[in-house]
Amino acid sequence: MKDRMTLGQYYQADSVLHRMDPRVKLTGTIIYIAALFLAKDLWGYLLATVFLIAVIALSKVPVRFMLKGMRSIAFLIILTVVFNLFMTPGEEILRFWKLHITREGLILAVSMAVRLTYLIVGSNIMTLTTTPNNLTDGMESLLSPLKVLHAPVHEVAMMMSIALRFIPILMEETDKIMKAQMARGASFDEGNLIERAKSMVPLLVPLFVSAFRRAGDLALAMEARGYRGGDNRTRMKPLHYAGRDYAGYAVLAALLAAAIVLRTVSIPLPF
Amino acid sequence: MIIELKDVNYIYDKDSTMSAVALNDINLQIKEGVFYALIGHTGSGKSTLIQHMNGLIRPTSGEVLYKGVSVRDRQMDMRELRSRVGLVFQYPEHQLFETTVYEDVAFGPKNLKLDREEIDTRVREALTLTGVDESLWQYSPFELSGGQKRRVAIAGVLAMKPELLILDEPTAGLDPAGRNDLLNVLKRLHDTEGMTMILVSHSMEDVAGYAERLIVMNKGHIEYEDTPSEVFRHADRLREMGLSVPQVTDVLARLKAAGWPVDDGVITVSGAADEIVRALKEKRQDPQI
Repeated sequence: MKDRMTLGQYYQADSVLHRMDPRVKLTGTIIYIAALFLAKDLWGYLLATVFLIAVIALSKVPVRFMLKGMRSIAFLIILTVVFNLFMTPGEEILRFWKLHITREGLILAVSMAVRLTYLIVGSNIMTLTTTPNNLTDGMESLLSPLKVLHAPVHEVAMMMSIALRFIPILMEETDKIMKAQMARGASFDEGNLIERAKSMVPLLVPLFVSAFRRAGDLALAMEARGYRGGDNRTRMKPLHYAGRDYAGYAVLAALLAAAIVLRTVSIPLPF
Repeated sequence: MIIELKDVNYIYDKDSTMSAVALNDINLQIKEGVFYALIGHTGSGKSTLIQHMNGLIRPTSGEVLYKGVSVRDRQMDMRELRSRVGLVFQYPEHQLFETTVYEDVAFGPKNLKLDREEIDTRVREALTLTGVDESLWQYSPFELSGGQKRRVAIAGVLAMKPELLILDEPTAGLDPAGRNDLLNVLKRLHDTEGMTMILVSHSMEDVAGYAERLIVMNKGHIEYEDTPSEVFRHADRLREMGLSVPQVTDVLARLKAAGWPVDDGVITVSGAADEIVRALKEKRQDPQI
């Protein structure tokens, strides 16, 4: 269970990326995604590839660990590839039975697969190198201008950080309940679809009960400690930019500029 | 012999930076009809060890044998193994999910694909054994008190008719009265039904009076596997491991250290009283001691 759920988890390590300010990483993820969607030919993807490889190397997170998280997304990627491959009209290059693959379809399928993979790996790096608390702190700070519009930025950030905080707890709980029910002869991977769905009941009911109990306890504990929302609240660890963060912003600005340039001018492929 | 562990090692999260050795060269035999207590400080590997016994965790290296057959063996039917080796997790009441107490206890036997009558007999038997009153059987398990919920959850495992029943901290979170009640239920199961029992605990005081043999774990390996009175002779070593000895054993050990002719292997209050009286008499006869 735990093995399959690398996505959205923090990986403990000591790297520049881990120490970087969460605001830079959040902005960086957005710019990286933008650069990825700006790419229109091989050069654009090459740029994203170079950036991605550099970031992976900087993060000190084992590649194996990152790819593990990809497994849960593999199905989605395969589905996208298959649909693009067979459903795109254009110049036919291969045909068997009723299916035909077009040149346009092939290019679209490959670029979609690359985009999706890069998208997931890229945003994965952010969550792997940033603790949930740090992440929501960064988000709150970046969104704080919206407070002027009376948007409940602090409350939303608090909700997110609680939700993120509860993921590992609930995963552990799921693991425990699964084992407890398996000890009573339950099995979660047998039978047809309906039987499998039914077999989830002994897992989901206790999980919901426990989630509600925990939520109630937490609300009570927060109230008991005088929590009353974001107004005039100070932080234990205020966010401060350091030299590496400005360097990070500079790299990101360069990335965005390069992506825009590659979008507007077309450089002929060397082959 | 029900379960035998041979050179079992287990490493958590083998591939990550947080990998930790949970079990280190475990060799252990669980014999029929014996009441065991498994003791160790938090994080000593108790929970990991017991999950090996019904195949929920597979060892990184080494063998777990159920009646001589390896748990890894293809012929081993996991469902069968789990019905023979009943495992009650910590806070078992958190696994309750059915609409009634009766239905919840029937979950295990139903998974074993037994016929209706057999299921009914087993559910009734299990609920009676754990002392859940028949008037509660049609209630929702969520309406019961903490102690009652726990009995229902234990009944849910008992209804599988295990030969070996393993309970992980069954008394955690119960008040002293509920604790004694539950321990007595377990003792009765062992005495009258001849059930082999492993009680996991971090409290010596709790288990000293019930267990026939103690298994003491420390940092993933087994430190002692002996009768309680023999184990408690190593009071200093136990304290180093963050465990305590029962108060009476402690008192006797101090008397002995002060030169009194007492046996410090006694573990019950009444036994300690007898021992002190005997020592006093001896001293009166021979003031030299």
